[in-house]
Amino acid sequence: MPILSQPFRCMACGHEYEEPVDEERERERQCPRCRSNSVRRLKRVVPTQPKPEELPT
Amino acid sequence: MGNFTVRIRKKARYVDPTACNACGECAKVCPQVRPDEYQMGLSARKAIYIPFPQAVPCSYILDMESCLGNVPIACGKCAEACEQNAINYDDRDEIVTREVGAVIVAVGAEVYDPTQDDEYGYTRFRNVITSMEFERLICAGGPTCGEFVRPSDLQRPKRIGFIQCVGSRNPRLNRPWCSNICCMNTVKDTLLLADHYPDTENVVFYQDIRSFGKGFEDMFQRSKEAGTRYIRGLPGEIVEDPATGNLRVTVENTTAGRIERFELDMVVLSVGVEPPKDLARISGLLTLSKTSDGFFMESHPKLKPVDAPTRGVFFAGFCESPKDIKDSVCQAGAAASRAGALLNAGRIRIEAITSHIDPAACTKCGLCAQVCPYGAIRWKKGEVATVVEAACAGCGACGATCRSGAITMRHYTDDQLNAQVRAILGDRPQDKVCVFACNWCSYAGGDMAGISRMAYPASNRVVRTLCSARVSEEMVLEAFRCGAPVVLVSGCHYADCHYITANRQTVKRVDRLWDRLERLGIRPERLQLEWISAAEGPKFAAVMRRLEDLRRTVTAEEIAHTREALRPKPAARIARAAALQE
Repeated sequence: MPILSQPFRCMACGHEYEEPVDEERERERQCPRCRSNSVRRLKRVVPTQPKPEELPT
Repeated sequence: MGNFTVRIRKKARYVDPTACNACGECAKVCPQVRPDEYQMGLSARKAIYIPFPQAVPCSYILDMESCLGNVPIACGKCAEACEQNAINYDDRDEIVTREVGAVIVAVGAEVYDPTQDDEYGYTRFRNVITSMEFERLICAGGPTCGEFVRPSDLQRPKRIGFIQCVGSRNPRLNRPWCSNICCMNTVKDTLLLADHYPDTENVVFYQDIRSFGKGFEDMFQRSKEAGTRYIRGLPGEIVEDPATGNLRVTVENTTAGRIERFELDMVVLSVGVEPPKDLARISGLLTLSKTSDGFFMESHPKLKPVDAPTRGVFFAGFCESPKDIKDSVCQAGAAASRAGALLNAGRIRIEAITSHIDPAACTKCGLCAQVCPYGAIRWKKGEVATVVEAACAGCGACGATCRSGAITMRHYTDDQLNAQVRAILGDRPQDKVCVFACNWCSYAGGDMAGISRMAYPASNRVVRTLCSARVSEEMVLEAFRCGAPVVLVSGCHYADCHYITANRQTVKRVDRLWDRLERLGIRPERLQLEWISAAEGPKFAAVMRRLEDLRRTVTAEEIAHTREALRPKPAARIARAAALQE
């Protein structure tokens, strides 16, 4: 299983960062800047493939 | 609690142990030769063999995977040679069923295999061996009868290097844990070599030598006095001389701050240990959790170090964490005592704080069974969930997860906790910070801040729950509905949760709440999450100061908007009123 980086945002200081997340070995989240545990896992935006008719001509 | 039905597979031996007298005539005539697993493949065994010299019962077994076949009998030479008529080709695996009151899990660990990453040229250089192979080579019962020789030319090596932490303390290989036993095993090996072959030069390449434990530091000092060189630094490169089979090792000596080169006759990789590969299956059978390194998690690291989270299950040895023989024996004794105490109790007293499921309200979704860290909720698809009260620890994760309100936590009901929330926010809610604190850590952390006379704003109001996982989404929303500017959910640190892994549910729930608040146009930062241990009074005070700063940024308009956004919809309100009337 590849370990992917996930985006996080600290809800205390607003710092945004990415961190590798191993789903099987979940660790305590902590903001690297302010050390708060109020760290929100952000939804990764997956770029979608545009349909042929949407491509610029 | 306890009361397990265990089905045990008793594997077929194909040799009657009561008739076999271990004469060995069968093995002499057996034509099938296989690498001997006990000797780490350094010698061979036959298909019919005794696994190791001290095996009990001392009788041969037939490895049917190596045998030429029993259906039909392809060879039959062992049966012809056996005067005792002990060979039985028709033997079959037997399933034995037992009712037991306690289970002790002592499945051990596996040794790291350096072939998968070709660590230090293990697969390419014949004179690079593992510490397990070293054990067999120097053992009097080993393949060379204790004559220590190197594999390439069967000559005695005069210069031997030991490399520590192979497959341990290595984040690159996703093995960050210390295997605990390797340092002292190497120290013991160097002393053995110094005793058997005083002219041998030993070099140990290490990161740290961890020689804690009774008599271990003394052993380490004796090893150094016996002439073993200890170089702080792990080799970066090993090159083999094809003509002699010798190994050239380059290492940065971090103590001296220079690059050193050694020509060695043999290199021993001090391999670490790892959890058994089938641990997940045992974990599933007994509802056990694993720590981040893959070993089994105990019920509590300090107070219940041999108890599994599932009551009636205990741990002994490596499966819980890497440990030496002495610690394994201690843990095994403790596990046996704990099991004995349970079996002899007759009646068991349990805490009254358990969950109760109303079968009429249960929607049979099974979410409660999924989140219970103790496996105390029995559920099958399409059936009402039931609680095994003897196994329930009362964390409340199920009660907070149940969407139909079918679960009541005795003595910490939703109504009682919501009443507390309404009471603390009844007067001037805009000046208050609503804090949900777990009983064991965060609440005690607040106590610590108080008794240590630490200064922090008086705006916080604490609602105590047994676990942070008891705090449902509805409780947090109720606090916002009552006008709370800021809500904090706090609990034990991840590894210290007093309900094994219940606080993982807290994280998921708070993540969902942040999303939900954002969708409703409410600033999600107003909900905070912190892990505060009982000793972290300063952290509790610091968090309270930070939350007070945050509270000051929340405007009256924001609170009014929150109340409006979270106001129950009429249909839901009617349903709620009807439920209350019932």
